[in-house]
Amino acid sequence: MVTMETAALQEWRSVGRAVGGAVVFSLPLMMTMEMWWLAYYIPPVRLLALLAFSLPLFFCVSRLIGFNENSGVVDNIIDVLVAYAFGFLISAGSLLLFNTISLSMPAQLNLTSITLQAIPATLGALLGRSELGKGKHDPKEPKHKGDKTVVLAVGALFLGLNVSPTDEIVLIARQMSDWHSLGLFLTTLVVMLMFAMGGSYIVNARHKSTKVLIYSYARFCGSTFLVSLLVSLFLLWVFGHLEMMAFSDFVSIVVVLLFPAGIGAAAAKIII
Amino acid sequence: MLKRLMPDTPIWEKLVGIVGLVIILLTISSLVNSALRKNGDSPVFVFEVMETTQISNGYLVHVEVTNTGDLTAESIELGAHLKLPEGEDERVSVSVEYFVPGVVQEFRFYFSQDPALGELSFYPLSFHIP
Repeated sequence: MVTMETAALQEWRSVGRAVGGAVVFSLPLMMTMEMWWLAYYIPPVRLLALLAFSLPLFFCVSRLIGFNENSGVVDNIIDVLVAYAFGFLISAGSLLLFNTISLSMPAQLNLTSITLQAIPATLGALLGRSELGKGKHDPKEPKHKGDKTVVLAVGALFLGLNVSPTDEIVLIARQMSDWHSLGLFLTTLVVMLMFAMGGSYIVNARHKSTKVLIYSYARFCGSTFLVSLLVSLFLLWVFGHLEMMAFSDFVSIVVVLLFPAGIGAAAAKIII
Repeated sequence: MLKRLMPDTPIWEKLVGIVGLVIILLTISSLVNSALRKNGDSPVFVFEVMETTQISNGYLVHVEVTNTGDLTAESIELGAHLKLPEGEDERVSVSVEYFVPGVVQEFRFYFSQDPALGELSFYPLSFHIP
């Protein structure tokens, strides 16, 4: 009896964590008007590309930090599907409450609005169910070569997604001179380096030679930079910020988005 | 089959997982359908006068506008022209941030003279495709 009650309580906790995670991760975007407007004109192919990029990434996250002890492919797929269902329903409910979507609007428009919000909400539900990375998976389990890249990409996607749909990204890029861009770019690299030094990624730093340390930091910053850059370019394309743009403007806007995406990636490597 | 594949997974999780799968499949099919269907026709605005009400110092014309084209219009300005047989014509305009295909939006145009006395016409003044 007690065991059954404990199991039921655990199930409800799992639901509560999924709902809480989805709300926390998606609320800033749900209350951003550019995200509502984006649903009016985003080409369906770009939204499909965002889904095609996010869902496999979430599957890898589930494999790394998933809720269940079982780490089979089907379990992880179910984890992602459950998280998506929660993310979608919470997004739909919130947007209905905000009157951003309604039954009088075309169904396609409502679906696009919800799908845009469901992606960060799904990541939140997934991380929430696993208590922000402290899931039942064994953290000491040997990781695949691509796992570090997945963690970096998830961090970059999460913080990048929070700012990339906004007009402020374009505005900041326009008001920056070349010197500002250079300054922001160097700041991004310094912050990445600080995360590398502050995190547990490079362990037993005291016992390593300077040469090895420099190599480790450079490798951390290099991989973080590359993944953040690719995620930034992808997000800028999805949200239509790369169209009809001079090369100098293109560089500026990439540098601007690289700042949050790079910090997100570096932080994710430490948190997850 | 699901029970055999995931013996430890609770039933509610399997059901919610199926709901998630259905939502994803519906979303993908809807987006693919939308991508194939869109032929990129420019926004087309259809105006329908619903009613005219007299207020203290003029008249309000309540109009429903529908974008029957395929594309969303941004920064739209809609105009109305009241052509009177006598006196000066009246031109008024309203602006709206976005106009999505298939959506009906309501506008109210203000005129100082009774629109019933003249000829009323509506037209888009400007917009751009986002």
